[in-house]
Amino acid sequence: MGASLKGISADNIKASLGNPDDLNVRSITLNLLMENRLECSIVFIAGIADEKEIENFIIKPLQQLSPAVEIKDILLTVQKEIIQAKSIATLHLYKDAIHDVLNGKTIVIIEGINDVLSIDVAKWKERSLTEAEGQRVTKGPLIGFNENLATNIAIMRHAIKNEQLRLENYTFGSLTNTNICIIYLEQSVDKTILAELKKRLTKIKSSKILDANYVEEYIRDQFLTPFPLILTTDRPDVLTGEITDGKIAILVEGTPYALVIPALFLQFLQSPDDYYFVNGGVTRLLRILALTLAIYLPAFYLAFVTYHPGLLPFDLILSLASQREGKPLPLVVELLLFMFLFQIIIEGALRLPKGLVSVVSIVGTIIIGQSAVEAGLVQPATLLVVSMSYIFSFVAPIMTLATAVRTLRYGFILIAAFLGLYGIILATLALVFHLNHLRSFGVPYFSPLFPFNPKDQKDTIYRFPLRKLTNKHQFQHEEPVSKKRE
Amino acid sequence: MKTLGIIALLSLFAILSLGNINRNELNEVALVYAIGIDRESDNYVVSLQVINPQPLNNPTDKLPVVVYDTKAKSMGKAIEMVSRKISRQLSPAQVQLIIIGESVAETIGINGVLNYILREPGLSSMLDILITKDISAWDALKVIPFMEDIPGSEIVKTLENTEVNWGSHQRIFPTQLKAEILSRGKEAIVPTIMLIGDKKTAGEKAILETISPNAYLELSGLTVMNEDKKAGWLNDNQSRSYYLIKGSLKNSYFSSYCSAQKEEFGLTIIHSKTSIDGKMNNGKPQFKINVDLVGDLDELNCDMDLTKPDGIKKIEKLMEKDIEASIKDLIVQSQTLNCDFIGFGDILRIDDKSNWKKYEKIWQKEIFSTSKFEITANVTVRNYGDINISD
Repeated sequence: MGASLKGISADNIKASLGNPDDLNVRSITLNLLMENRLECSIVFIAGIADEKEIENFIIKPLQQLSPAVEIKDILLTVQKEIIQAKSIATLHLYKDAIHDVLNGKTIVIIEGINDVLSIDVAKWKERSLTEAEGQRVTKGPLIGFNENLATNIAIMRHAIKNEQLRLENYTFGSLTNTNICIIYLEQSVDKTILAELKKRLTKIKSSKILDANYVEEYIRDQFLTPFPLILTTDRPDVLTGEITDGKIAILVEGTPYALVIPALFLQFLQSPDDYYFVNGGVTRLLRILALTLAIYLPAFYLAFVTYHPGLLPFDLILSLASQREGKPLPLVVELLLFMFLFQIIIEGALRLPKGLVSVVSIVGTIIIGQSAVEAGLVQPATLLVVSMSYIFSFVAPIMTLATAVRTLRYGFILIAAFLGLYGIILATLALVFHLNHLRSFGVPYFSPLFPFNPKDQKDTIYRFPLRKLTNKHQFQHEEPVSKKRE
Repeated sequence: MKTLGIIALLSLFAILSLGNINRNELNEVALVYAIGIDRESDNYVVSLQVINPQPLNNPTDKLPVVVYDTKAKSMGKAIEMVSRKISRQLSPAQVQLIIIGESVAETIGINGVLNYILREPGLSSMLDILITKDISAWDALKVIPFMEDIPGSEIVKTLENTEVNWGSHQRIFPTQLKAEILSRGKEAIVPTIMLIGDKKTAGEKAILETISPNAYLELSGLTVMNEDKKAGWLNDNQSRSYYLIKGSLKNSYFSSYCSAQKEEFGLTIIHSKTSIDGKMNNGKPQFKINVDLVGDLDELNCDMDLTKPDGIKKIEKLMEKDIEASIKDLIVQSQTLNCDFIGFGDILRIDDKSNWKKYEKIWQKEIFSTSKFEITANVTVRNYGDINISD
């Protein structure tokens, strides 16, 4: 006998869930006409259902049930007239009942009647809404998403009050049964991308969804690349901006981070601040310069010093030469070693309990910065280059790009150590080829710069005044969206 | 992923195994700052001023440079032979200065040196060239500097400073010098350096303990080349007149006697412009030289009333006369040496091409010395100060 065919009763539910302590079963006797009595059970899980609501809107009305009701009409009467909760449904499948109990709903089972009532009084514990952590701004909206899907959807509803807004719910994860929600604007969404997204969503086979990344890895285009092909953000204002631009957002239950598809390379260089300051376009230019330097600075340093000292100003090479005197490690090893050390310091500062972070920064600055120089292990210029490169990489407005930048940097250092400036040019060409090769849901990753779209240039590397911007973007598909998937 | 991993592993292996990383480490090369080239009994004597870097944290008593010299038939061989004396590989990429000894310019000519500089791929094309006077290039490289750490750098910076402020010398680069040597209508000019004082004390560290040094290098005049050999020398005033007539004088100071050759007044020249027109007249070249100068009156040591325009006019006239005289002096020098270093031939080539073709080959030998010149100077005093101490 399959579970779905089981009769819905309090005992069955108890048995199915393994008789847990937090499963509450409250029995009520209903007094009907002609001294008829019906046993009625209210089943819910304490903690995820709002007990006050159950008490006031379910138990109290049931107990005060007027005797003028026929037995055959009892369910309809209870549903329509008696229970005062905001949402109520009739179920007749056992597995639905179990599902609803686990989702915080309350099941009302009336003796002798096959169908049961499922009343939505769920109240999940949630973190209060706080400032967005992943992407901070100096001026602008502060609110960030939290882990509750319903709250996040409510925030988006609040941000876009438009009848065109569409929300579609899905449940994934065979064990966790996590809900996700796709949000888009019906009028401006690209229909091919939407269809492709739905197709890719069916491929999620994971048993658990703990974070947006579980969804991302299943639906992203299959390229071997350090670059993020899907935008992640925990800021409602960013999500609003993207949705109104015709993109599709995916909210995942249990994480404040939402996904946006399709993602373009330039989006990762755009900070919300750019739009919240009058002259925001200029800071974007500087940010792009800083990120470029973050990749190139160590490589250029190495290539110039070891391969092309003749191209450096003489005073600089003289100062570098005097720093170099008596240093035991080759420059490339020195550079890689300290790059690695910095990476570990950052990693350590992230993982340690907050109280110990100051220890890491002291150890990092004093031991590495000062003692290593005094011990003659490293030349100050190397430290300067390494720390400048790290500081430059911090300006990446979306942290997934910063990771890509840091990864690429090692490649550039290695090739500069091996081939000098020639190697850097080769690596740059390879990087440009690679970026042009990438697609996010069929949209060229480097667009609208490559392929160049003259109509879409007002918000690329420089932000034009807001009154000149439009919400219309053309995503250029040159090939079937899903070519890469098979 | 697998291919990427293999590529990463291979390149790491290549970097570590090929010994590439050690090849050009800065503490394993010797940076050459300046090269001096002399001639001694059919051999080149090449001296290298090599940087001796001071470790950053523990300064030592070491001098910042070491000068090595070797003698060989060819310059490249001589430089390679220095390896026997030095523990590091020589790196010529940072050479900023080439000093050519007078002995080279007087005997074999500087063409060989220039060709070497232009051919050697390791050398930069933006390096300064100087010729010594009365000393050898080797001696010039051994003079202790006072302001800069590196002796060569002191010379280069002095040259730059002179170019901007006094105007008697301008930097010349190998390609430019080679072009002037090859040109039929102009002979080459090279800035010249000489040693004031005793060359033995100039090279000893003890001199740094004197506050007023008695032995130092000084830029003095220009060496005039005939083809690639030394033909003569211009003194400091002639040098400035040379750059004035070439129209490349940037900033300078001219003075002139008020009257009776007693007291002087001076102008800071802030702008100068020269135009030369030439043509052949009955087989004799004729040149019209017109010099416009704008200057600020700096100093007036004599009685003159500047409140009236006449006074200013008088100053301008006196200055014009003086400048005309100094240009005249330069041209006379040029004709005496029979060496057209000002480039009148080039002017003729541009202004009177048909005649130039005829006389091109005998220009220097026969025609140039018969040239006639008409010199006019135009001095404008733009600013003569706010105060007027006339009595």
